Amino acid sequence: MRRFFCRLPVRLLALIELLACMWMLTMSAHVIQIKEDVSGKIIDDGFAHVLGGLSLPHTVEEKEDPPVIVEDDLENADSDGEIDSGGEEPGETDAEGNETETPVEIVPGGIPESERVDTSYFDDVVFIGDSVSLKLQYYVRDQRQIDETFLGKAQFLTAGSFSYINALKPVSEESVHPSYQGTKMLLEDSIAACGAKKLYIMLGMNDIAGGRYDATLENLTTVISRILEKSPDVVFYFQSVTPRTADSQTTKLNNEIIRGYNERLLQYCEDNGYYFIDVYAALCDENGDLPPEYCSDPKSSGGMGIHFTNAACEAWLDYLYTHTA
Amino acid sequence: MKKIIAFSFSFLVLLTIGLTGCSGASEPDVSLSEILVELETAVSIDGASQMTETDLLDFYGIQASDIAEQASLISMSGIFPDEVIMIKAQNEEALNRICEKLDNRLQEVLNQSKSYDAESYAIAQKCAVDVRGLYIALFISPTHETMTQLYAAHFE
Repeated sequence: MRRFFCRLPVRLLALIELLACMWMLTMSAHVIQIKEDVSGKIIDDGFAHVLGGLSLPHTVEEKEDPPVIVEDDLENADSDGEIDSGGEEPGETDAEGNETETPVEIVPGGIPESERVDTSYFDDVVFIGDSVSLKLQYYVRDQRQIDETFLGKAQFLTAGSFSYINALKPVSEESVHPSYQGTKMLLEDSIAACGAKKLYIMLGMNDIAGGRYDATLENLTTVISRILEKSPDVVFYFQSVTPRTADSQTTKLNNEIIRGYNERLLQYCEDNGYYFIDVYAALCDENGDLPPEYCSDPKSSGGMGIHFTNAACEAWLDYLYTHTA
Repeated sequence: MKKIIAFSFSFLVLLTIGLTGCSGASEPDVSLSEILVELETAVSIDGASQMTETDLLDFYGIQASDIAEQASLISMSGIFPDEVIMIKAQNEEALNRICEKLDNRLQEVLNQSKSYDAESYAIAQKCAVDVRGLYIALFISPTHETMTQLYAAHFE
C-alpha cells in the first residue's frame, strides 16, 4: 500500500501525459483537415460554425401590400424585361451590299446647357442605375485615387441588370437591388440611408425591351412614390437611356426603341415637374448610335454594344457638369 | 524522484510542442501584401488598382475596425469588376462579419449576372469565399483558379 502511494505522483503524471498525447493527436487532425462544403467554400474546420447558416440581411420589412409590377404587356419581351445580346437585325444595304444608316436628327431635350458647375454641386447627388452606371461608379472611384474631390462626394446605388421592375420586387437572396455599404436594400431605403438630395436616375435599359413604355413609366411612377414616402425632399433628375452601337441593334432593343422611350420620359418629366438630362444626345454619333470609341463591349467581341469606356464616362460627366438646374 | 523529473520534463516538452504546433497551424505567418505582389506578377489584371479600407466599406460594407491586415485589388474592364480581396480579420467575430459580407458580394454578382452576362456568371459560379484561420479571401476574376492556388500555397 505504502509502495502504491509512493508511486502515485508518477502514475498520475503518466496518465496526464497519455491524455495530453491523445488531445494533441485529435487537435492536429482537426487543424490539418480542411473540408469543402456543398457550396464549394473552403472552410477551416475550426471555423465551420462561423460559416454555417448564413443568410442575406433583410434590413427592410416586407410590405404588407406588394406593389403592382407591370411586366407582361408584350409577348416578345423577356419575362424579366432584361436585354439580350443576340439576334441579328439586318440593316439597309447600299448597292455594294454594305449596310447603311440614315442619319437621325438628335435634338437634346431637357435641361439646356449651363455654366460649368463646381465639383461641390455633386456633394448631395446619388447616381442610381444599372450596369451602365456601374461603370461610371468604378470610373469615378479610380479618378478619386488621383483626386479625392473628383465629382464631389457623389454616391452610387448601382447594380448590374437593375431595372424599375427589380426595384419593386422585395429584397431576397435572389433579388437584384443595389447595396449600400454592403447591405442590399430596397431602393427607397438605400436612398434614405445615403442621405442624398439629388437623385440622378438612369434606368430603363432593362425594362423597355420590345417597347414596353407604358409598363415602364407605370413602374417608374410607383418607384417615385415609394422614394418620396421615405425621402420627401429629394429632387429627381432622370437621365435618358444611352444608345447601343450600330452593329448591336436587335428587334427587342434598338436605338429607335430607346429614343422612343426617352421621348416619353422627357414628356413624363415635363408633365410631372422632374428634371430630364439628355445623356443619350451627349454620347451618340451623327446616326444616333454609340460610337465605337465609347463602347467597352463591342458586338465584334461578343459583347452587347452597350457598356462604356473611360472616354464615354468622361464625356458623360462633362455633360452633367454643364447641364445643371 | 528521477522518474518524476523525467516524466515532468517530457510532459512539458510535449505540451510546448503541442501548443506551438496548434497555433502555428491556425495562424500562419503570411504577408498579404507580398501575396498581392505575387498575384499581380503571375496574372495580369487590366487597369487594376489597390483598394483602400474606405473602398472595402463602400463596396462590401466591411468595417475598418474588423481588419487587421488587408491587400485587395479592383479592376473594371468588363461589365462586372475583377475583384481580389484578401483580409486578415481582427478576431473570430470580425471574421464572421467579413465572411457574411463577402458571401453577400458573391451572391450579388451571381444574381446580377445570371440573366445578363453569361461569362461573368460562369466565373462567379466557380468562385468561393476562402477561410483559413483568421484569413479570408475572395477572388472574382477569370484567373481566380491561379490566384487561389498561389494564395493557398502560402498556408501550406
